Amino acid sequence: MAAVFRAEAGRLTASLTRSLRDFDLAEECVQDALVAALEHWPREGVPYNPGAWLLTTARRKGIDRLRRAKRYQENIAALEETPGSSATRELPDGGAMRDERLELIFTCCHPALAREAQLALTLRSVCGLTTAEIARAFLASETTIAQRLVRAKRKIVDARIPFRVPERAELAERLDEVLAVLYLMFNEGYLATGRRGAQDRDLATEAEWLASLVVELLPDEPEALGLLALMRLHLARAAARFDARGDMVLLKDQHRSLWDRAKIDDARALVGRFLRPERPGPYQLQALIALAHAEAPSWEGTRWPEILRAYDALLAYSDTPVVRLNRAIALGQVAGPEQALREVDALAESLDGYHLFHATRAELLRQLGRADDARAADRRALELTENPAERALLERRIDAAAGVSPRRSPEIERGR
Amino acid sequence: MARYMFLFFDDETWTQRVTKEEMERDYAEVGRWWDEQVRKGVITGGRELRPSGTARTVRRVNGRLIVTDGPFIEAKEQVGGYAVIEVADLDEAIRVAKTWPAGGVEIRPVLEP
Amino acid sequence: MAKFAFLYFGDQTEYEPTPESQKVYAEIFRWFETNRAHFVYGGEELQPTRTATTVRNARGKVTVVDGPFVEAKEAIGGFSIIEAPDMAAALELAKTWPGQGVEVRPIVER
Repeated sequence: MAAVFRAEAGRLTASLTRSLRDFDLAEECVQDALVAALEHWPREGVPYNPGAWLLTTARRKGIDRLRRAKRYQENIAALEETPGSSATRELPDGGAMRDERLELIFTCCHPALAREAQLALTLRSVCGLTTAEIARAFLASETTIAQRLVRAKRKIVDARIPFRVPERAELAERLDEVLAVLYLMFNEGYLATGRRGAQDRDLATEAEWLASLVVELLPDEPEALGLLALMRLHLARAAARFDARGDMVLLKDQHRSLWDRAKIDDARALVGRFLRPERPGPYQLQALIALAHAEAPSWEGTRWPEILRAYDALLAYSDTPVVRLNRAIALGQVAGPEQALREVDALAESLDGYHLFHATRAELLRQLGRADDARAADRRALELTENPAERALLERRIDAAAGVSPRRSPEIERGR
Repeated sequence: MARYMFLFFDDETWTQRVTKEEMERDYAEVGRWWDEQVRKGVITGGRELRPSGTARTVRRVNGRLIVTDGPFIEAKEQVGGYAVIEVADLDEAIRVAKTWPAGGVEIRPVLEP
Repeated sequence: MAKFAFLYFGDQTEYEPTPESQKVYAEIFRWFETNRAHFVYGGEELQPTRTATTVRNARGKVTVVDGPFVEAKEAIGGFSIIEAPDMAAALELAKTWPGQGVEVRPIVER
C-alpha cells in the first residue's frame, strides 16, 4: 500500500491543484483519500484501479470540504465537470490522467520557499508522507513540521507562486533548485542511517524515487540523470557501509562483493545517457567519480587519474574546501601522500572544525610513517564527531595505531 | 494580475565608495531600467527616498509617543526606494527584480482590499 | 511644500484579531479619511513579511530567498506619500498615526 500511495499521492495532488486552483485544499483532500483507503482497503481489498479510486475519493472529499465551507462555487463546478468523476470503476486510468507532478515538484521546490519548507512540502505533497513521518525523518516535532507546511502553503497562495513548469529560459536554474532539494533529502537520509530505526520511510529512498520521477518527466536533462546515477551508486554500496556491529566501514575497506551490481549497472546506463559532454555539470561529475569507484576491483586498482580529472572539473562548479579535500585523496593515489598532505594542510584554516579533514590527514600521515602525528589527528577527528558509527571507526584506528606504535610496543616488552 | 511592492535596499555606504562618474553611470542605468518598466506597464508607481540618516521615526510605546532620529530599524542595509508593480504572479515579479541594476529587492505582495 | 514617505511599521507576529486590534484598525481607517488632504498617494497595505521574497545581487550572482531583506520583529507593513511644508509639519501628522509607528523619510524630488 505504501508503494501505491507514493506512486499516486503526487499525481493526485497535482491534478486536484490544477482543477481547484488551491494547493492547500488539494493536499488536504488527497490526505483524506489516503486515510479513507487505509480504512477501506484492508477490509474490502485493494481496488482494481487504486489510482482511480483515490482520485474519485479525493474529489468527493473536496466537494464535501467546499460545501462545508460554502465557498468557491465555481471550484465545485470544476470538480464535478471532470469527466468520469461519478463512477469509480469507469474512470480513465492513471495513464490517461494528465501527469502534473512536474508542476507540483517545481511548485514545492520554488526558490521563494525556505529550503526546509521545500523539503517538507515535497515529501508531503509529492511522496504523500504524513506530517508524523516527516517529523520522524527530520527528528523534529510534529508541531514544527505542521507549522512549516502551513506556512509554506500560505506563502504559495498569498504571494501567488504559480503552479507550472518554468519556461525554457529559466528551466536550468529552477531544475538546479529541485535537484539541490533532492540531494539534500538524500544526504539527510543516507548519512543518518544508523541513527534511526529501519521502520521509518527512508529519506534516501524517497529522494531516489523523486529523482527517477524527474528523469522520467524530463528525460533530456543531463544533471537530473547525473543526480539519479549518483544516488543509485551511493545506494549500491549501502550494504557494505556498516559492519555486523553497526560500525562504519570506509570505502577503502568495504567488501566490494556486498555492492549491489544491478544498481551499479543501472547507474552505468544512466551515465551513458549524459556522457556527451555538451552540458556538463556537478552532479554528472560526481556520478562519474562514484562510478569509477563502483567499477574498481579494489581501492588500489581504482582509476584514480580519471577521478582526479573529474575533481579538477568539479572545482569549476564548486570550489569548496570539502571538494578540495576529496581531490587531495585522489591526488595522493596519483602523485603520492606527500603532495596530497601539502594540499590538505593548505585547507587547515577553513576545515579545522571538520572531522573528516583530520581523519584524512591522519591517513596520509600514517602513509608517511608519522604515526604519532597520525594518532593526534585521529584524536582531533574523534573530538569533532558525534556520529556513533564514525566514532567507533576512529576509536578502532587510534587503538590499532597505539598497539603497533613503534614507541609504545618496545616499552611494553621492556616491562615484561 | 497581481500587485507587488518592490522595496529596493542597499548598503548606503556605496555612495562613498564610488567615484562621481561611477555614480552618474549607475543613476543613468537605474533611470533607463525604470523608464523601461514604466513603458511596459510593469511599474505603476514608485519613489526614490533620501538616505535613512534624513529619516525621523515616531513610535508608540506603552501609550507614549517617542520621536527619534534615523530609520525605525538600525541595519546595515536600508530601504532607498520602492516601486509598485503589476504582473501575473511571483515568477514574473522575480524575473523583473533580477534585472534591477542597483542592489537588492524585497518583493512583498500588496494586500488587496 | 515637500513630499515625504510615511513608512508604517509594526510587529510582524500574527495574532488572532482582538477587540483592541480591531479598534486600532478602525482608528487607522478614520485617520486616512480625516487626513485625506495631506496625501499625494494614499499608498498600499502590504502582506506580512512571511510572504516576502528577497532577490539579491552579490558580485554578479543573483540569489532568490524566502523572507524579508532584514529579519526583525518589526517591519514595514504599508506606506503613503504625503505633502507638508517641512519635516516638522510631517512629524506633527505622523504623531497622530494610531498604529504602532511610522518612519518619516524625505523623498528625492526630480
